[in-house]
Amino acid sequence: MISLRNIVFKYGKRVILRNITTDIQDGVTYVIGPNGAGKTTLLKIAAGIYKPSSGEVIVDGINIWDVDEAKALEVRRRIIYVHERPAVLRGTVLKNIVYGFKLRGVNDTGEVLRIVKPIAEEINVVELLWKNAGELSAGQLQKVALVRAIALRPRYLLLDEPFSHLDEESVKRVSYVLRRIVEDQGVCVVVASHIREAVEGLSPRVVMIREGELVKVSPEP
Amino acid sequence: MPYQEVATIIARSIMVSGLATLLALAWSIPVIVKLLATGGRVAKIALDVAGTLTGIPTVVLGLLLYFLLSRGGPLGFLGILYSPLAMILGQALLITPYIIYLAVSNLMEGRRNIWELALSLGASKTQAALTLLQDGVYSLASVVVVAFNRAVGELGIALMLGGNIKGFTRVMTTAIALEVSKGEYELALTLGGALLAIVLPISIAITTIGKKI
Ligand SMILES: Nc1ncnc2c1ncn2[C@@H]1O[C@H](COP(=O)(O)OP(=O)(O)O)[C@@H](O)[C@H]1O
Ligand SMILES: [Mg+2]
Repeated sequence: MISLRNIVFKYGKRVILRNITTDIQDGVTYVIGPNGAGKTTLLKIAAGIYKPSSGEVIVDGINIWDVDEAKALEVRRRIIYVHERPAVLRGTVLKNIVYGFKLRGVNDTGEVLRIVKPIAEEINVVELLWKNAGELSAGQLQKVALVRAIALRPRYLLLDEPFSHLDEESVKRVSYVLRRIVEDQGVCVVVASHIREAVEGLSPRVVMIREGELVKVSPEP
Repeated sequence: MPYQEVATIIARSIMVSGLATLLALAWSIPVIVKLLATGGRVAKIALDVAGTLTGIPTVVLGLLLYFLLSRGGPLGFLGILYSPLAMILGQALLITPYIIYLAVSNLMEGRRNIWELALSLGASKTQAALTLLQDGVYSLASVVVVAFNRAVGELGIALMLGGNIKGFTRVMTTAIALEVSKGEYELALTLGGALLAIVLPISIAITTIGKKI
């Protein structure tokens, strides 16, 4: 579980998030709110990428900003955040996928490929693996970034507007894969979206924010 | 001045400033990685300091090093004043703030998305800093060119620490200054042209490559 406790986030003097307290539990959570509400900021804080101005981020019982760097890293590696317009490193898609494994000390591309292939097949991006990542369309980037994230087997997968550039067919495939990893692997998925799209067949918790404030959680805790 | 001497001077310029650039890079890269990994206020302050230091006039730095290296100075025992080594050291110090300032501001501010990507895929702060460096190697190359150009084109340090000794420490800028003072404008212009011919093509090549990537 990722517990956000009294999270406040400021850019300079501007307050972006005001005192948000909520738990991200197993299953699927939707973070809904209009553009500019603070969804992206909240997800990045939950992923340990941004440090809140005040408040606590507690992942599996560990306060990530209150432990040493090594421990924080170990906990951070359980969480992967995927941006709406994912950044890519120079080089091929495969090299981008291998990167996350290298960080964890796995350098064998063959081994990575064995893990990645089935996921890439499910999302139908196998032929993109050897392409230059810089040349992909927005939709291709989203799919490839998802493969890059899932391949690392995160405990928590935080997705920022993951369907925004996908066609209908891709939305179906992606929702199917998400549902599978939630049900079979117990991955905890968070989806930030300005509209409410459902991951098929799963009833999500919904956290609604507006102008940096938590306005509603359903079902009620 | 015979053709051969001109060629030697040009070669010496490239050698001295090239080595100065390599030396500056060697000690700047760990600092750059450290600053990128640290981030936050500490890095901002360090960046401001480096930015300010880029404004040091070469004659001031030259003078400072001259006193350090002169016979009675604290480093006088090294006996390197008026040698290419002193020039290399001086130029390396001169361009260090440029390299640190330009590299860190390019990589930290211009590539926030790569930094966040690295963190989100599980990089430690140091791994993320190295990723920035690796992924931004072309923007780093342009920084190196700026630094080299600055070194090869400066006069104050070359003159004060090198002494413009014929066949030993005479480089393009000191030779140009000397020729102009003798009224030999034609030779000065030739050397000036040579200086431009070295500096410009590299800049253009790097800018073009940088844009493509
Ligand atoms: N780098 C930044 N500097 C200043 N303000 C920012 C920055 N990034 C986002 N914001 C502001 O923070 C608010 C929340 O943004 P964001 O978390 O991206 O919202 P959402 O994802 O819900 O659209 C917006 O008003 C946005 O303008
Ligand atoms: Mg957003």
